[in-house]
Amino acid sequence: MDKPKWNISITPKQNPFKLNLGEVLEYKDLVYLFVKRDFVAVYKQTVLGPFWHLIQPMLTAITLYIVFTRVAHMPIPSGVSPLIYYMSAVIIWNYFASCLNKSANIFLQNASIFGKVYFPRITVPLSFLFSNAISFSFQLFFFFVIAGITYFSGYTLHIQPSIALMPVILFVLGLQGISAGMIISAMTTKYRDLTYLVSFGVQLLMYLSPVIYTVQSLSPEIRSYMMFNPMAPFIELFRYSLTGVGLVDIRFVGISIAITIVLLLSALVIFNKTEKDFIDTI
Amino acid sequence: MADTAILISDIKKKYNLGSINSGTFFEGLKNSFIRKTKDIPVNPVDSNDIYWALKGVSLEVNEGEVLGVIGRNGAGKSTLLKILSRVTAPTAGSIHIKGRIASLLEVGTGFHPDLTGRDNVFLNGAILGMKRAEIARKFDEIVEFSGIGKYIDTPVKRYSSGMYVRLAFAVAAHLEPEILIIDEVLAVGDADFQKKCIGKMKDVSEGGRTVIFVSHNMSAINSLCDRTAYLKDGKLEMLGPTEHVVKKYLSSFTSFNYKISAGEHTIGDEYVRLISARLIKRDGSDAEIITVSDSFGLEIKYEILKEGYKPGPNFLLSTQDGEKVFQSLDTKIANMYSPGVYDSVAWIPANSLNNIGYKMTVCVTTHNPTKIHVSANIDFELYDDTDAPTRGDYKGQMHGYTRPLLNWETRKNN
Repeated sequence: MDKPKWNISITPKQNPFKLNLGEVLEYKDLVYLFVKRDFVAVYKQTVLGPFWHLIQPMLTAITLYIVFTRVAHMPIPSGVSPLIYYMSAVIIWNYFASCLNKSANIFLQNASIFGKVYFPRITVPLSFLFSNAISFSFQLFFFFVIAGITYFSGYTLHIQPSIALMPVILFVLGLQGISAGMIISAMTTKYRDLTYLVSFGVQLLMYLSPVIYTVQSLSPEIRSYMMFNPMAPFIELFRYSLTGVGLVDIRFVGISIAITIVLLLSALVIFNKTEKDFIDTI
Repeated sequence: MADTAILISDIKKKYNLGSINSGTFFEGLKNSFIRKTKDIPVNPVDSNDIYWALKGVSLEVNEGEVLGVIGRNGAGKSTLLKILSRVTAPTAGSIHIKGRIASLLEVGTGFHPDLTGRDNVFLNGAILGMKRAEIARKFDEIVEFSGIGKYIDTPVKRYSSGMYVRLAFAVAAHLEPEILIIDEVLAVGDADFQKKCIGKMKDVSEGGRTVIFVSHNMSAINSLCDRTAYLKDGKLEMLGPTEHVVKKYLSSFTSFNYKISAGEHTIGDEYVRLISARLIKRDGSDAEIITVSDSFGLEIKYEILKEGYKPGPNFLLSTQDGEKVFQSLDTKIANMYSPGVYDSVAWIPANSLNNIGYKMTVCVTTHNPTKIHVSANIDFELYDDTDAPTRGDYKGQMHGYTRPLLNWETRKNN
């Protein structure tokens, strides 16, 4: 019997580095439909529907403004509308956090479907990348509307040419989010403790990232610790592009990209290893 | 001879039932720490904690064949299907598959309650491996097959469970993989819909595609499958023409319950009490294994407690499916009706029964007027004997409820 005619081989061990991108392409329609499902199903039986996408970052920005600027008197770079300042960071942070949070539950949430039918599991986190990017773009659009309003009420806009890097920023932060999420979701198949850790861990992470503050406002010693936060340079870059506020160190960007690649590769290996038989332990 | 579509070689699957990796993060840490330092497993993985769901199954499925898989719960059917459909990986062994494979382990997989029937058809189709264009092309056909009609744009959470399942099956039935794995779908839906499903599956298989069909529904297996694999305790017990395998499977449902002893609860009424009933060999010992060329006896011990009736021992022999084979009673017990303990043996001659499962209903009865004092069942199965005089050189399946050794006379006339 000649070997090559088999096109699927099922064996106990598989190469964990094997990505099978061809197979993922085969299932690109599934990714599309997952994205569509996320949008259609989430707002069923809600009054405001997709407007929640817009209201949420706006309200968060207002809250941050009240708490940190009005109550705690944290300084805001002059010339920038505080609403714009906070909102720019909130929407990019939301994007990252949502990639992470959703990916962190992949195995537990999809156990019933993963337990019955095979498809490349990677399609699920991949779909989060897209669906979050779509809701991000709504928010970004809304951001520009708000920015326009503040412009007419006297603030200047400082949109930088680096805004052209937006897709790169999204891509890197999204990969970081889903990679971290995938690793966590693989671990939650064995240890449920982590599910409790994730939501408040993400919150802590926000305070460790330049969302409420800028890297610029930190003292130089603390600033160098920011190197270890791979999200920081891209959040900073994003806000800089929109508001002109921020400090972007190219070395930090390099380190961040390196960390992202390592994170992504480990996530893929762990994810591949887990998806094979997590259904037995879950 | 058709080409092989699936080659399963020596597949094994182990499950750890122990508490390792089932606890919290810190327990896990502690376990791995102790294991490393002391070189002994904590929560010892003794043999009780390891469960081999599959103990080495090898099987070849031909292209275009409809293979049935049967077996009791826990025999390893679902595990085999899970491995085949790549939901979980085997512990050892390998499977090679030629062609696109789609599985239908449970219909309605991935149906989202908030989405409409239409959206779910697309989503479910994509999960099962179809392209959007492919689904769109077959959409009308799918809706028509499901009988959902105008409700297709209603969220599926408003569907009745029947509608839900019909739509889900309709999607799955319109998959066009080379290999289709189906588990228990026919357990749902009304008779009409089941008929439709069986028809559809026949079409699928006649279209030259390979189908693996797991079910407890023997009539569905019988009508659909050419060959059937019977799994028992993680091993392939039998593989062959469906009819034979199903028969074997059905007969396994009753254990070889050759003996009744009326110990704890009395069998009988105020006139007669059963002491024991068992199958015996010629020397009077328990007949645990009986072959078709053995003679064996039914021994009944009973006690008559009160006078007033004329109780006598008898039995009815039927197949496991409930078909009556014959009945027999002791006709020579006149005047043995006084209180006391009796034992009685009925000898069943060698070469009279077939190698199938039987049920013996053992009674002590007064016949005129009829009163059944005692009734108990003995289930047993006869094993075949390849040297049985009823077979000669024929080694195939002997059909029928009995297999009597007849006196054949064949002469040469010139």
